Amino acid sequence: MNSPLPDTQTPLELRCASKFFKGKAAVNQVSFSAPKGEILGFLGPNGAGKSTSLRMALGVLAPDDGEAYLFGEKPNLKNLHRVGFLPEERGLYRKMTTRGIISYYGRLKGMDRKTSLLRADEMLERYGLGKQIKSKISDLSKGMAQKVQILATLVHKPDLIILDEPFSGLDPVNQHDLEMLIREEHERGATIIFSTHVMEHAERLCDRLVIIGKGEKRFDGTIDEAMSLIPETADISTEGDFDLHAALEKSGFTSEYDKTDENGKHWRIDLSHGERAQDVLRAAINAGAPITSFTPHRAKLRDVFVSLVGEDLNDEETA
Amino acid sequence: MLRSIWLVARREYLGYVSAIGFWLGLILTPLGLAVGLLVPSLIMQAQPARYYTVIDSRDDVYEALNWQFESWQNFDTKIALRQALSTVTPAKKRRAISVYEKAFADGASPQEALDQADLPFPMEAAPVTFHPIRIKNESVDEIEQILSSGQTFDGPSGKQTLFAAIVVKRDQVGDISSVDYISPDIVNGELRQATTGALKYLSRIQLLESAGVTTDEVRNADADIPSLFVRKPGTNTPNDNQSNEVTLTDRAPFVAATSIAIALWLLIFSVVNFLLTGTIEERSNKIFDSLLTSVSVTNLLAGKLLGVLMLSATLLGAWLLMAIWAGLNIDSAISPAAWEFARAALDPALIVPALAGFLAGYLMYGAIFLALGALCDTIQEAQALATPLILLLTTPLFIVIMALQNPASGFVFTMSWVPLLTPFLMILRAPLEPPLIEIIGHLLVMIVSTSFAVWCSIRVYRAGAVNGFGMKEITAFFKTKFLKKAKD
Repeated sequence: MNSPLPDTQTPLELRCASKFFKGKAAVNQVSFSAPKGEILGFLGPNGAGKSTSLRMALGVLAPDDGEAYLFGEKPNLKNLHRVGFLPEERGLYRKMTTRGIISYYGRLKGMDRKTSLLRADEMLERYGLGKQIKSKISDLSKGMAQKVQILATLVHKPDLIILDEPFSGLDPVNQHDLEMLIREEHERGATIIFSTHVMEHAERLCDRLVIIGKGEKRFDGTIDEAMSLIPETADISTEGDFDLHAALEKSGFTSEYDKTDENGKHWRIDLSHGERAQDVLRAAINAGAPITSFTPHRAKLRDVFVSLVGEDLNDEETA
Repeated sequence: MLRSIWLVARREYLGYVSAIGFWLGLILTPLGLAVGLLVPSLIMQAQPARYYTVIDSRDDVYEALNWQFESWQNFDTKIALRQALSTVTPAKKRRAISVYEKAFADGASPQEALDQADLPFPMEAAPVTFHPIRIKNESVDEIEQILSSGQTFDGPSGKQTLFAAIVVKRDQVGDISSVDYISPDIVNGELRQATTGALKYLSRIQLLESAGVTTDEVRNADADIPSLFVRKPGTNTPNDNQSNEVTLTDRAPFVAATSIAIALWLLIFSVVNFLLTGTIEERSNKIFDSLLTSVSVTNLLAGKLLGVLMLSATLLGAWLLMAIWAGLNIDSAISPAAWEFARAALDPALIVPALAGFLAGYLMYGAIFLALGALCDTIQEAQALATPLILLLTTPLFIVIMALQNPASGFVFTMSWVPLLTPFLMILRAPLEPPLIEIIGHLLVMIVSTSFAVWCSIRVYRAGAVNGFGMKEITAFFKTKFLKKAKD
């Protein structure tokens, strides 16, 4: 059976890609794509194969099995010119100036000298490094140098931006700046893929998530789809001796008595897949429950992540 | 593709040129070379005049010692005269030397002989640094007292302390029984050597005199030793013994070829070091992944090699300009010889193989060092890995030095086919005008071996840069290969 032709509108696509190191699969049959204009979060614990997958997608590493496509073609210097890549292991020429290095990366991506220098000046000014335009990389702090490398990644206004652990090593202020930068690039129309350990960033920024563990894909879908993997819960407090458990049982909900205090009785309701907190609230009201407080608990992405790759994390710790 | 190669090359070039180390190397290398060349003559010129005395009941040792120093002065002056006359016509050279020799044989001092030689330029005789001082009626004890007290004496170089005393002891019939050389300076052996020579000379004279030959006859015989003129075979008639004489022009290509071969080795090993350290910086600073999504491994390597090649060209150009400046400004007696070497070095028969050799040698060694750098995170790691390689790569220099006297030897010819040595030995053999088949063969060897080195280098570089292959893996490889075998 022939696999379908790659879509030239899809900035990145991995098809059943595998990579083996010393006979062990670092990435095993991983497939995912990053549709145009999307922000894709690429999540996984350390050693899950995120960087290897991204390096295969960019053609830095050749897959041992499967295929990688950029804009519908195998990675080549032409389509790589449309990509901005911030690798996990970062570094710059220490003796070059911030302006020089951003311009250099721009020119390697096809920009002319004048335009690249103008753009470097503009970016440095805009992202708080205006005073460091002539500074050498060796004279910058680690965070500043990382910021310069991020700017060097984006200097040529790439259509596809791949950021491997971009938030690591940045202080909260710079993390916020980077989030802003990602949003701006997204608004410009760029497709963005980033890997991260910090679920909050993914939750705030991503349209879609791919989660991998031990080299295998564990999840591929929207944030809502990810959240729905873990059922919601709700806390309800009632006045007097009202038996909420009995009242909700009639509607098919399972509740559990928690405690009684001066505010009344407190109940915890575990919802099944597909059940939503407002349905419980409606059932309780319909049953005439004297509700004093209602607190729905939606699962967090961290919980989803742990439920999907938690065992890998434990294995990693054991190892 | 060419654009990315150029961008990488430009960055490499500007990176090195903006470093202070480059400018230090550019200035200090020729300066060091010049100092190295000038030091021997500076030491000679700076040697102070020294006084000595001979304590003897007769004058024959004193005179023999004077004769010995004058012979040495004559010898040094003749060498200087031949060098100074290297650019005049053979006939003029021969005439001037003959006049000088005749004048010296007739009893003129070297300076007087030079003055009579009708030279086209003024010239001074080689300096004499030891001058005799007459100290009458002193005992050995008193002489030792003078030597240790630092008493000064008037002489040709003003007031000086006594450097040494030669005390001649004789038996009852007046024959020399022993000679004491007394001096507070135990390092300088020049006067000791002259004394030994003088005593040998005296012994010979005395023996010949007893056979009826006078001292003057012996001295005339010494002065009449005919000059040796080196000629190459040619079409001159038997009586025309002035043509085809080997001149500096004939020797210049060999000297120039040797100089170029050594300079090539020095240049290659100066600049390939830049490649090694530059690549280590990229690996240790984790720059590869960023670069390799913008430029292919092959283009990256090509750009780096081109950048450092441009650096070499800058160094060579600057040194050439300095050499021209020095040639135009140094003493007029030396500059014609320098131009003669320069003309020989720029002869297409030499410069073409030199350029081909340099290009091939640079690419071959450059590729090896690039690959090496891609495997190392630190200079220390590179040193550990490079030490055996550097030992191997110093072989060309030793072979070149060994081949100086005889580039036509079978050994040099055989070694010239070893790829690592071909670029250097090909240049050394160029003045011999080797057959076309040898030239083509050498070019083929260089093309094939350089291509192979670059091909291997790309693979090793990729393993190091992309897959992080490094010292750990190399150590593991050798342990598996060799320790396992040893255990088995």
